[in-house]
Amino acid sequence: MHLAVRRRSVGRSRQLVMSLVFFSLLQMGCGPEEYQKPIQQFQDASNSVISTTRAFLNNMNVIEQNAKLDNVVFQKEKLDLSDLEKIEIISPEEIRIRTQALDALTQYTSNLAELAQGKAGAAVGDNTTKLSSSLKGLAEDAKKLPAAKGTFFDNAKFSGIVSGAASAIGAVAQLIVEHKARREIETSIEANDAAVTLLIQQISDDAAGAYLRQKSQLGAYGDQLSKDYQVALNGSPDPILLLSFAKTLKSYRTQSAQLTQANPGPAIEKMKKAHESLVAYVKSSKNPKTLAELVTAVQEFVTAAKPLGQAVQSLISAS
Amino acid sequence: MSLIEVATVIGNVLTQIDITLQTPGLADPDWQTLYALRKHLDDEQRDLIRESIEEENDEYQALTTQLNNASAQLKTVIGDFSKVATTISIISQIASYADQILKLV
Repeated sequence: MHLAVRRRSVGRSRQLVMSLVFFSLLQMGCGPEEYQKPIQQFQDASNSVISTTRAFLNNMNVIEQNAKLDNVVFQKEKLDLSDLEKIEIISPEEIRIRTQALDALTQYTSNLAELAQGKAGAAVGDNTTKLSSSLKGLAEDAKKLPAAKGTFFDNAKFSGIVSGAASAIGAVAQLIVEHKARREIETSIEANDAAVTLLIQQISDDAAGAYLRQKSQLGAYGDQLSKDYQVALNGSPDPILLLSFAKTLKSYRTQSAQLTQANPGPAIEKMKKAHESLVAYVKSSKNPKTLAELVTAVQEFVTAAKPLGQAVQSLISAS
Repeated sequence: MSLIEVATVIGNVLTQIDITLQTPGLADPDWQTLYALRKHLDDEQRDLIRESIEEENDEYQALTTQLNNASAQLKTVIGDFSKVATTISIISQIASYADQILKLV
């Protein structure tokens, strides 16, 4: 009897040693540098997307004001410049709430990266708790904004989604702070992630909406330019006027090309996929295959984010 | 199909209209009709972006299917100046579907 128990005990010890060796080998297969690189790239690309989204949203009022100006001139109506200043379809507060929510999501993903490395320390717990509080504050701020009908964005819906993400991140933070088992934390991350990705999706939709409006306004400007040129040709065109048309049309073509490059929607969509890959990596056995999937998702995100900064700056200076 | 996807379909229609409006050869009355329709679709797109809807609603799903079909149909005729009347008719239909969607939100 004693011999049987001893044999089982030795067998378990061997199994444990083998598991540890296997785990160490896996860790060697995806060492810290290999893991840190995509995480650093994710953070850099996220910073680029945040600043681009902020610039893009900031430019929206100018675009709508210019659209109004173009239409007034095209229709040969009376021009009141002070009227243009009154057009504000997105307020600085709406922009702040959206970009800060995106920033909080990026920081949360960084914390997930720390957790995936087995670094569920007090700092990560505290920081995740702060992010949850910060998102709760943003949800409250969004609630105070004007209702959907009078504004470009649906602030009430946004507030609800931010609030859901805040609760989800708060639930994960609570487990980290309470030093719960790693497996339990990982399960909670996966279970709560739908609310987090919903927020990324909402920010992506808002950015896509802003892009669609800019594209439509620019298209209308092109229509007006073309028509005016045709009208000028049908009369007795002044060569200087025609040259002026050429200059304006060249600027329009440049803006059209830059606008395509400046769309932050696809980059945010890739950011969502990279985040989902990280969550899958956290929950996985962290082998080279899951790391490779994470690296691929991050690379696609980096590629999508790369042209944004320059394109948005060029677009804004051309507006 | 989400509202942002509907707004994207409208955006693609707007782009096709812009290409037509920017191509010489369209008779002025047709140009003006298309431009007026463009303005209407542009207003609808702005409204769609800021609204929310229950995507599982049967009526909404039927309308988005009709919108997609009309958008696909438009691609086969737009740009052909001998089919301007058909083009205008399909765009009017698209605008009508978008109007009906906006009534559901």
